[in-house]
Amino acid sequence: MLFLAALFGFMAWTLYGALVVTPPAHVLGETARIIYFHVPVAWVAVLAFTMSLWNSVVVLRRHSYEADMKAEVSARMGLWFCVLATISGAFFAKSAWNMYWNWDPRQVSITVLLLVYMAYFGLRSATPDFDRRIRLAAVYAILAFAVMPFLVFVIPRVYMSLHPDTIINADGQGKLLDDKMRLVFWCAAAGYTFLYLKLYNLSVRVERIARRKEGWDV
Amino acid sequence: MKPKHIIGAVIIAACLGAMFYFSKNFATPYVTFDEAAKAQGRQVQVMGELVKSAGAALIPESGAYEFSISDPDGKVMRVRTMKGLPSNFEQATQVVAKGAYEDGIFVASDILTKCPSKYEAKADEAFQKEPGE
Repeated sequence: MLFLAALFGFMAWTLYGALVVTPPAHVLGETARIIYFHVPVAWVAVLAFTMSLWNSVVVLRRHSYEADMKAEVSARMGLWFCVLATISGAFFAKSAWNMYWNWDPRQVSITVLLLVYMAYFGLRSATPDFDRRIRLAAVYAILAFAVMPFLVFVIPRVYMSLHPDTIINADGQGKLLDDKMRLVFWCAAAGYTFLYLKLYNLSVRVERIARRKEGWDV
Repeated sequence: MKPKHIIGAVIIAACLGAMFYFSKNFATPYVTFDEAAKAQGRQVQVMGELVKSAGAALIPESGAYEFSISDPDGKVMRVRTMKGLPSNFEQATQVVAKGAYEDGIFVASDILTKCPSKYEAKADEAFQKEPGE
């Protein structure tokens, strides 16, 4: 109950705060409001990929079907949130850079990241033997996760990019200089994290029921 | 650490190393000023800091805009565009010019802007005006 209250509270406040409370930003104006969506969504993608890593390690340790199911659910969620970050980023780019898509280093690296995690599902469906599949998938998910921070954090900093630095600026200062913006931003981060946890929980339950119907003992 | 952990770590490190090594080929569409000059006439993209002191000048006879950008080493290149400047050009810190280098000047068909990465509230216009203005 408390969890749902926190989820709806933060999300409601985020919607209201992002659209009404925060002032339009200098230079970017009203379109800057997309950061209250774009950034938390990218954050949730990273969180979901981390969850996929963790469950994949458990698969290799204990050969757990349950953990494999959770790893797959996490990778799928990470992929969807990554797609959302890419699309919202393209719209943001249209107003900030003048173009939806320019194969900027940031856009290249997120495309590679999407392909890396799509290949995870390709690998799964191409391996008919279940015990072999979950081990292969787990090893691949660990490898994919090692590449992820490199694509998200390193490449766009090594090469010149139109995208601003993520999390904090190169000079170590925060990005949001306005108190209201900062408040709404952190509420959004919390809200989307709760949303992620709720979606994860629901997805695992749905997947468990689906597998039981197929006769799996999970 | 079991041997297979070490092998795994080495494989991961090798993958990352290879990716980093090859990333120059796929990660960025932006070429250096020298490469742009060498590519005479071929469509490329260059990125650089706006040289604010040089400003953007409108050439009245042709209707073109000209401005200068500098790379991290301080090299400066002149850019000309016929398409006009994007609306947030004034506030841009860096710009990307898409086009081709022709006879000492980069002729751009498109200008992309990098905006300040700090978000501050839009100043109320009433406050921006000096008293008595």
